[in-house]
Amino acid sequence: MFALSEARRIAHAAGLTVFALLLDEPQASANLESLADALGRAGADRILVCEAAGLGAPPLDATHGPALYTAVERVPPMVVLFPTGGPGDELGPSLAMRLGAAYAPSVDIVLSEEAGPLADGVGRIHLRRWRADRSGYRQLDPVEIERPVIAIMGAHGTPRQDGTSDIDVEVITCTAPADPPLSELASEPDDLDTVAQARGLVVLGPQVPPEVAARLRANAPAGVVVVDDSTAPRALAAASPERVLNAGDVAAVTEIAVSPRTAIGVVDLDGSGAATYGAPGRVRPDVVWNAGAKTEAWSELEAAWSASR
Amino acid sequence: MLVCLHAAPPGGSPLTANDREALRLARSLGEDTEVVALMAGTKDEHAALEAAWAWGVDRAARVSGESFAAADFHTLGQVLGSAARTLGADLILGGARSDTEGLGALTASIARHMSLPHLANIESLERYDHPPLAVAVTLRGSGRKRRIGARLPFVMSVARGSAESDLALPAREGTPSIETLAVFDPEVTVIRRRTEILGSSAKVEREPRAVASAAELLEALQPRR
Repeated sequence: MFALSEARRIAHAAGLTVFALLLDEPQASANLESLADALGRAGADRILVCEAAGLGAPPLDATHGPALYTAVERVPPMVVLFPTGGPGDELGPSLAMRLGAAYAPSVDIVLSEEAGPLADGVGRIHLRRWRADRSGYRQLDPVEIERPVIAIMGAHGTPRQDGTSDIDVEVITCTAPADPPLSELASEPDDLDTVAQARGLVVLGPQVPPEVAARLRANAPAGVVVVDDSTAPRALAAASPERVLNAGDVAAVTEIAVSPRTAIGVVDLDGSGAATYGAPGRVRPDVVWNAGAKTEAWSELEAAWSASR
Repeated sequence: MLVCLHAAPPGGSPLTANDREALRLARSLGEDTEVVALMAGTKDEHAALEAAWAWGVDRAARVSGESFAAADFHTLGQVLGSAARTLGADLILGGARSDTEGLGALTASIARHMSLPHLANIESLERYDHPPLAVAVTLRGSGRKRRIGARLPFVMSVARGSAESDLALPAREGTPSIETLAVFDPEVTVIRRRTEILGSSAKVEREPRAVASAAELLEALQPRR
């Protein structure tokens, strides 16, 4: 829903239409009305529903890619925006290949501040992401590059309700692949999905006493997940939180898919962290607390933590 | 079995963590699976291939040409896809973030240019001899952790593994044997670089603000906008 809110914010400033796209099993009309209400309020101007047997399963390009392409071609879009923690890293690159588009994960969307008409070849919407070595940004303007941009929203946020429920729903009958080269053998809930969906991540280093780590985990505010070096890199790579707190200069923080909008804080225990700020792969933090090698630092952090809930 | 490698940043291991995991998974299919390491670039850029050869891949091959380090994923996928077709691989692996920009789109590009299906971010790979399925993988998405059987040929990206699963140290001694491949595909008339799709660069100057307490730290991290 946050992705829809952001799409509405930028699209309406740029004079564009927001399409919400759903791939699913054939739906009853009552369900479609309910969807229209929710997605319209979140910011969609129109809804495209691509229906076919099998599309209700977790999306993979081999099973959902062709249907997605069919639906997207109907628009055709300037930007295709996947939500944070969604199927973008599975579907986005292949869609970019099919469309000849640019691709950008963990983006922040920036609107041009120019009030009047823009020059030819300059667009009002820019998508911004960190470079791989986090030394700077890459910025994409769909108008300048004359091709669409497939992007994954970076940094979860609070969705707004700026839209209206009175919007059109168009149902497209898509065709799922008749003989997909895949077969699901087993499926279970992903206990690390909370990491990908977290709005805040706290990354604990080995210096954090285990009992402190346990209390921080138990008292974490809603939407905040506590991780450490043992957390699967794949789960961290799928996370794009609004806030990251690095307590103890943890290498695992480089795995997190931060966006330019992500606020990054560091608890520096002995002053040595400054040497790693800006190291390849690390974003320089926004704020640093030089706690020193003092045991009461953890008590102070826990107290502030509890007060912030 | 083909593993596409990428030049690691200078100063560390010549193989990225993603590439090490891809090589490890490739070898996990058994000694009777031929593992070929492939990379595109100049002679000066193949430290990763030498490291893979030392580790014990069956073949190491370089697609010759000018430097591809800054190439976009459309271009690089076209080059590697052409080479993979020449080598006759039926399973192509690549690190999920093994490209200069860390986009994770290279294997999808290779798949597209080879007209093969693509899976992203696999975490395990094993033989699965239940024809027509040949391998089984584990991956996460949409709140589920799934084991999927796949019918080859396929292109897959490999998620970075944990430190415990990392490669053992190189074992093979001697001079690395690196084959050189020229890109030859009668359907490829032009390899057009599309670097504009990577976006323009902007350096960021960002100095951390020092705070005096944990409360100030958490307050400063409150959501923006």
